[in-house]
Amino acid sequence: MSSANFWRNAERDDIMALQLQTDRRKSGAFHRKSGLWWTFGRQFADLRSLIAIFVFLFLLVMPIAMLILGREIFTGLANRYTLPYHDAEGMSVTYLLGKPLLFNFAFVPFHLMMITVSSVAVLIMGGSLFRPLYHRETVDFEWSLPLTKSQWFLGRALALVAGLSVVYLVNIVATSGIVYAWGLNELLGDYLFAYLKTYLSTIVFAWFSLVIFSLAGRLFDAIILNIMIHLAFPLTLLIPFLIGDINRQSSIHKLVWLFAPAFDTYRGIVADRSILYYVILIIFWFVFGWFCAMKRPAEWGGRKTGTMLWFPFVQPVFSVAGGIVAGNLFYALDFANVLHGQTKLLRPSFIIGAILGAFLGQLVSSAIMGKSLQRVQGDEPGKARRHPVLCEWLWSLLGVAILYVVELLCQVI
Amino acid sequence: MTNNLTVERQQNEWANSSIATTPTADDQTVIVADNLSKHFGATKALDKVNCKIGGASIFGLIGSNGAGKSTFLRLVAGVYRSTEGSMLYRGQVVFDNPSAKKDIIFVADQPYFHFDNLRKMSALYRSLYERWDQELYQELIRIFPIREDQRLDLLSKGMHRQAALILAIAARPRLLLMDEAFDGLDPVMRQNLKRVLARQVTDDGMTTLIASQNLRELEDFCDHVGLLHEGGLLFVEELDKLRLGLVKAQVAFREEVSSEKLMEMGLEILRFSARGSLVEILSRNTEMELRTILNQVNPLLLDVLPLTLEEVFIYELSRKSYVVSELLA
Repeated sequence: MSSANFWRNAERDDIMALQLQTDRRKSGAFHRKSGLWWTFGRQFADLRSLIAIFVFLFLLVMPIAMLILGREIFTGLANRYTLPYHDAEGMSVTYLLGKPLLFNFAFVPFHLMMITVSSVAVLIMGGSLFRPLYHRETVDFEWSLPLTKSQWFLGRALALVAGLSVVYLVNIVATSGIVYAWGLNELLGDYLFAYLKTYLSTIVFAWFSLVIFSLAGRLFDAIILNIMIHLAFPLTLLIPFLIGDINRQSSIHKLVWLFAPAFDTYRGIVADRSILYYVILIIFWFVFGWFCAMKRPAEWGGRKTGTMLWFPFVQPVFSVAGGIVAGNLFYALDFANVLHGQTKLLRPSFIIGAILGAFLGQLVSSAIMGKSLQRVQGDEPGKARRHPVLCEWLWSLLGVAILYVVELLCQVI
Repeated sequence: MTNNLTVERQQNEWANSSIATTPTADDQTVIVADNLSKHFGATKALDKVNCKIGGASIFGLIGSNGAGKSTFLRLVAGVYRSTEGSMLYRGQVVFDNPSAKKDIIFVADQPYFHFDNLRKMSALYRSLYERWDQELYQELIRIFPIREDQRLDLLSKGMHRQAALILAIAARPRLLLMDEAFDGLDPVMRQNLKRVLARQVTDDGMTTLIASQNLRELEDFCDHVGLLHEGGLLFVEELDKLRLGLVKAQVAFREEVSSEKLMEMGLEILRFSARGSLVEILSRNTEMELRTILNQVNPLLLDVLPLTLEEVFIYELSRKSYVVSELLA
């Protein structure tokens, strides 16, 4: 029976009486043209609760904490750390980790807490905005809406930046108001400059996170991968530093901070980065994030990140980090090293540690990202038997190779 | 209802698992899949599918689990990008094209609601789809009894689907895509949905594409049906044309009568199955011819039975040497 016949028969049927209204009033008056600003408006509206929560948390760790501390203690603290903290030539006289501090030390504890909260804000707000990417039903709904992919991604990315901007703005207005009311307004100029750098650095982290949100298959994977990358890169500097290798300031070592923008935010409090540095990074991560977002297929939603084609190319990062950490720890535990003038890279303890650490780094990252170990049967064809060694463990060995190349380059540069 | 779709089988394409449907007028063509393929890694969900669907009609897409029905719908909806070939809606590529997508609504097998009640969801749809009809929406929430302020996340599976259908139909899309449209609906609501859909097709010129595993759900109101199997479109046919010339009868003979004898008498028997004294015959004759021939052997009982879509498909597909049990769920 055709649909027309079906309907004609249905009219005769008395199970349900449908009132036909063929000439309906159209509701074009409600319609608003969908596009980038429609997406942005909708996402920003959805983000209101989280913005309110993070405004409160920012206020809690900064202006409210300052109020709890009290004017006298804060002023005493500010005066203790040289007020004014510039010398006659205008040079900073307060240093942190060997770098001149950009503002009065009294702000530092509050500022550090605020940066930590802002990193959490990027992950939580970003996760909330990009969550629809990771479930088939939400992908079906969102990607069948009359929007382009770029409108979908940019609308969300802009909502994230706008949300962070609101949080940062409310916080600095409240903080400035308190500092001004306490008569410490001469501290504000320098602090506002550092605050701007921190804000820009947070935006860098937000765009960096967009890359990971675009590449990951599940929200859990996206957040954990972001955290893992942030732990892996600084560990390659921190562990050798802790065992006494203090010469970790080469150009290559500085590149590490490019891939750990959340930690780089903490460095905004010292005179180490220019505004231009942050602007360039914002543009770079924005373009890269947008590219990844455009290339992301809908079918990635819900897939284990470890099973994706791009994942093996990221895994050497974890092998390098594991190799450096374990290599240095093994080297530190080997007291015989003291007697040798040999370079660390050639010591057996370091080599064994680096190889074990690289394998461990790959295993841990595989396990967390859902890339399961494969049991290979003896009767499988030769190609499959070689598979784990050639296609999987090769990445660990590549990680060790990268580790050595980087370390050697660092010694040369 | 205007019927713009006629089907032209490409006999030589059977081996390649693809078929083309050709509309009578090109300007009425709504969907064109041209050598459409979608691969997920090594898995070929759809492989070189060619079809044209046009006009105000209801098109049923059937197939077993993993046949590629949902993938096909997602390609039409612009959710997926095709690996090869193209999917066009009224001559435009659908993927990443809002001007094509504003005419299309996809009701997935698991509906998703961005907001927690119908009032907010209807506001979202109203702002997205310029053909949204508030009066139709009000009428639909009377037919499908869901309150506007009811928490959608607390509703049952069937109610969820009803809510999704209310929103989709009230947006008055020119092309409505539904994956397992009747899944979870009770018989009354199924009937209501069929009527509403048929009315929208008739009055509003909407094209409806429904994917289902269940042939019986589709047989009483689809204009055309297509069968997907292992990523290929095996079969597309106009339903009325399919049934034309096929007749099924249940007969009890006084004495044993062989199928050969009946064929000699002029019956074109396609299936002859005897259970005791009761014989079921499927033949390519008119009902009149069948009755005339069988009455010559003076049967004890002669009942002409309605043909189900499943039986038509089984016959048509077995003619093409397909093992039907493998194709249908």
